[in-house]
Amino acid sequence: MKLKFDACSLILSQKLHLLPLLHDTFGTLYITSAVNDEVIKQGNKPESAEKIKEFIDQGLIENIIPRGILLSSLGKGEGETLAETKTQKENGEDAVCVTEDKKAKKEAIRLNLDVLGLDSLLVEAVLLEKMTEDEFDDEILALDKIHKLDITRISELRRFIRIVTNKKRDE
Amino acid sequence: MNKLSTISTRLDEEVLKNIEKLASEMNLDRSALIRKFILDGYHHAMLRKNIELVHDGELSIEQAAERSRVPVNRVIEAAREMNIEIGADASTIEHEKAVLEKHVNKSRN
Repeated sequence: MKLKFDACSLILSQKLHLLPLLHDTFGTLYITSAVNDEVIKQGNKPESAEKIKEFIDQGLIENIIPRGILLSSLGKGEGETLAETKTQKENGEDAVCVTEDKKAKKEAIRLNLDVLGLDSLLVEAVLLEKMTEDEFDDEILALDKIHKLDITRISELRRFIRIVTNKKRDE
Repeated sequence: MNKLSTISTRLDEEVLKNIEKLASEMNLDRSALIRKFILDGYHHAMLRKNIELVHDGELSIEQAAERSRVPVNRVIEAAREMNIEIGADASTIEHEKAVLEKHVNKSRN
């Protein structure tokens, strides 16, 4: 699975120190050049930008030049992220875009792309046994401290974990 | 430099006295400090308005950053300070659960 992050989801992942776990769970993480410009060059906090740059240098994150141009009503980074996901999907790859943005998410769904938020990505980490449910709860609390979350969404995701793990146990 | 225009406004005497005191402590003249207050207030109001538009789904986070002339990181921080939800709501959750389910089934096979 190829995960493509927009600027907001990448910044939040870095702030929560989740990038190594995400790399360990999903392999190389991808960003497009506009996302790279936003988080590295355009005034993101220097220590945060430096950390992300380190991950790029180490190969945990790969900076790619998008192959498709998406004329959309989004920001450049969000638009490129969706465009690249669309191109990869058309090439038969298992591509998922990761965004925290509700407008970008709706646009991705309209384009029939697979899209996840950082919270739902953590659900997948739990289901793949890379994270415990307690660790998930801790990360969600930490995420909510820096990025207010929708309570209905979180309880739905929590319920989903319970259903899938119960089903797995019954099998 | 952009051309500056003059505006006039009325302020409570007590407030004006406190502004003069603060200006002197900051080694600024009164009008420079009032100009700073207006500009700071304007930038804050613009940022708040754009964050509210993200909350309403009218703007994306990057678009709000671009319009407010701040980095994405500042939009995230300001939204939290203002206690405004700018992330996705539950309306896309069924789609996300379907994506997760697909991945879980794939990892089992």
